[in-house]
Amino acid sequence: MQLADYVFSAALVAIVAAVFVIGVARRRPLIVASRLTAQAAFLVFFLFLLTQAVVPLEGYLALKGILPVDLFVRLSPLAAAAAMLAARAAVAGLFLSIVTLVSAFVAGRFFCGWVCPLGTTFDVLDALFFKRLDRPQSRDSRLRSAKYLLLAGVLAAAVFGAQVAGWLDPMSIVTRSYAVAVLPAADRAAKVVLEKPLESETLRSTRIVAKTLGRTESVLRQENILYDADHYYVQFGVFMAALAALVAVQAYQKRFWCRKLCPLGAMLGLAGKWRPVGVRLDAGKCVDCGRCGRVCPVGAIQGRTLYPEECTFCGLCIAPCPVGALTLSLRARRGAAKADEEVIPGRREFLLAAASGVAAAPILMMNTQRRTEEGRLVRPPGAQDEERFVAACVRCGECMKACPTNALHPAGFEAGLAGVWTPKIVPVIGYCDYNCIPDGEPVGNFCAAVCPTGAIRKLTPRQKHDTHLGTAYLRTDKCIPYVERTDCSVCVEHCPVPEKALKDESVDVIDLKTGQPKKLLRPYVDKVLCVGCGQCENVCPLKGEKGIRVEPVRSLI
Amino acid sequence: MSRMNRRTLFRLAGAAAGFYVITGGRTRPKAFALASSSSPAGNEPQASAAAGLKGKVSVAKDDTPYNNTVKAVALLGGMKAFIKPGAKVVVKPNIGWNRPPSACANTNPDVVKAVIDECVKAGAAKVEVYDRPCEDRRRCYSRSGIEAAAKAAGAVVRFIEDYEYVDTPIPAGKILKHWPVVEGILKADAVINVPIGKDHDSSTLTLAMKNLMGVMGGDRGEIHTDLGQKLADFSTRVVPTLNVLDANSILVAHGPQGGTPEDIRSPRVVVAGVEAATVDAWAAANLPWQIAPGRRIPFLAPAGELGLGVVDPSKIQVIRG
Repeated sequence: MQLADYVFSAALVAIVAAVFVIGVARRRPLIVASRLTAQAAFLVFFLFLLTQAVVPLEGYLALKGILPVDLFVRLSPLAAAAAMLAARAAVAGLFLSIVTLVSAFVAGRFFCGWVCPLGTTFDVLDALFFKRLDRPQSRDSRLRSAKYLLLAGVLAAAVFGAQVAGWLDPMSIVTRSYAVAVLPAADRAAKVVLEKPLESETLRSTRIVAKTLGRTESVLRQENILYDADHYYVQFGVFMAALAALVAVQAYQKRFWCRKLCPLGAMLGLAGKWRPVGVRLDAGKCVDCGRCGRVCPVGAIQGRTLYPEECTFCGLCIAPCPVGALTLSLRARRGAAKADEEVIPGRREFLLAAASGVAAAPILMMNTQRRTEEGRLVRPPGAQDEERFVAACVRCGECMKACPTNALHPAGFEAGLAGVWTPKIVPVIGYCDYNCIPDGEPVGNFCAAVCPTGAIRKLTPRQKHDTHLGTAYLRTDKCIPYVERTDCSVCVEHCPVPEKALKDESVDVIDLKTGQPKKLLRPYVDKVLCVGCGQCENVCPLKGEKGIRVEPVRSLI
Repeated sequence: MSRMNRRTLFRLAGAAAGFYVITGGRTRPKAFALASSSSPAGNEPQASAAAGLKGKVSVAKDDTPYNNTVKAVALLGGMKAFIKPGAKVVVKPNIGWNRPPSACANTNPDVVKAVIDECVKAGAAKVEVYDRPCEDRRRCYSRSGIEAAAKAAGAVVRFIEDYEYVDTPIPAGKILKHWPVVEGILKADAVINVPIGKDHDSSTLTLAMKNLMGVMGGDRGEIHTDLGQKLADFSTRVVPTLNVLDANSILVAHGPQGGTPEDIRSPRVVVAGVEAATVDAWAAANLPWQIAPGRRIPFLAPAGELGLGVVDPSKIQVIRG
């Protein structure tokens, strides 16, 4: 730990403390100030963990290497249940999510109000953009039921092998949205501010300017807040748009996702229906003024009923009540007024939803792209068993963030519907580093080290060297020595395999410019040695279509 | 909340214009900006040292790589023959690959440390160490051991940023007429080129001349066509003050990035000289390479034609120690 690390950690703590101080100074009730502080703390912690998902420099066991960077994804019992059901395997790390379930049995949707970084993101952007909007609470219990039905469908499909919880699980959503869209965008913006001034000769020569900007950027890079090597991702626009849509729909209704669609919220709501700890509405005292209902961000109060399966424990309703009918209670069962409408759907609806999930499973698993040009799919090392991998992967994007060479990107339809947003290697953007982690360390593939569900299997460095992701094939209609009869061999130079999977052969050719005979060095692939890492494709000087391509085949020898 | 009015609009526009003006007004990438005409034609080493040492190399063998390096420089007159007190020096090792020192893909950290120590002893005011690696730069710097060794010796170890490359004309170049070069190299008082000797698939061997690719910007893939002539062209413009070739342990097969332990030989010498081409010519002829029959070393003949050194090994004067 260096000085910069301590200063940085202190700054994070200071930010969180500031939220509390400001909350108290603005005379928020203690429960609200605490909740705001908790939200800030968990969001800061979430962002900290995500930015620290970086290959450690001093060996795997260095402090930053053993941080549980995938902690938040493992907190989701939905992701855990779906992944373990679909892959038919227990994963030790995922049992951490029991903590969240227990918190729901005790205090209902406490997680949603105090911990969930996606919820906090919604709240922050809501406060910035939508605060003044008039958004009347509607009853809409039917639409609200949708999240329970989604839960049933997702779990049922998982039992039948099609695991799509990753699309709908808020921990996966928030992790991959930040990893693939928000962090790269923020990184780029910060670098423009810090680097653009230095393009001017005058400013570069002004010592104080150059030193301040340079020092700031170098510290931010050192602390992994900024990428050292720029990372950008395929489908960046899609992810940004998806997050923007979820945020924008709040203009219609606050915390729309949480109320209507979030299957994890549904799961925690079900668990919390008879929670002892929470906000209690005493129907006897209530005078039906409606003030509590108007401030509730999730619309959990309808008439004189507080729905414990919806309440996220935010505490905003307590202060506005003129008669003190709302209290924090350790015996907060809903015994007050009988609700006119149930939010949780009935058995029939649940069964229908589950059946739909089962019916959808085979359609999701269909892969029409597999034998086509668009079906090229090179998986990360440790993810070669495709069926098992797609069942276990929750599409959280941790591996994409963590990959040091920016090789991993969200897949499109190459792996079928169910495989959308699972990671694939795009060699043109980034290759799989043969020497990702040094020999002698317990894990050789860093992507596996951060994968919360073990979908990417951990390999030792030696096993990783022996894992074939695919095979490189020369495109002799494009490769410069073949087409132009001039030397190149950049691919051969960069091949990381110790015995070199790419070699040069010396051939006699006629020079196209001079017409004279000459000797030419032409590359060829040693298919036995090639591991399909893609470094050759990555460094090929051709722009557009490369002269060498990794094909997802294990060469038959 | 105050509403947007004309005054705010003008203020915003003024701030944007100010930012634009201050940042140079141009949006062209820095790589296309021309090198300022006040740069010298090359980094001319101290005239007296250069004149006396053309066509010569020193070959030093002592007990450790560190001492081999010190001796190799001493045999040429010591670092004070190349550096004036108060000089700003750039030491340019090979930090190209994410490999540990045992793989012999990067310069031996002890050799780098020795060079820095000698510069400091000769009175250098500041020693910078950098390279443009072929892989992820943080891990190349760290895993090669060079970052730690150089920092321990008191050098400033840093990365090269995109805006540091200036497009530099190469008037004497036959094919390569201009290329982006790290500005700091052109402006330093002295540049010490510290390569490691390796087998190389495209250029047959990578020695002192090839090591200069580490200060090239742009798409280096394009350099690999007519590589020999282009390296020679580049060497007419970027002329290190001194070249110190690490030949303590060299990679004789599957270089520059691969290599098994069986591919390593240990001549345990350091070769130094003021002309990269002369150092390369001597090293190519006298170290235990495994060059396939018929393979030429493509940069030596072009270098000889451009007058960059003595490329006939039999005509090189060797100062042994």
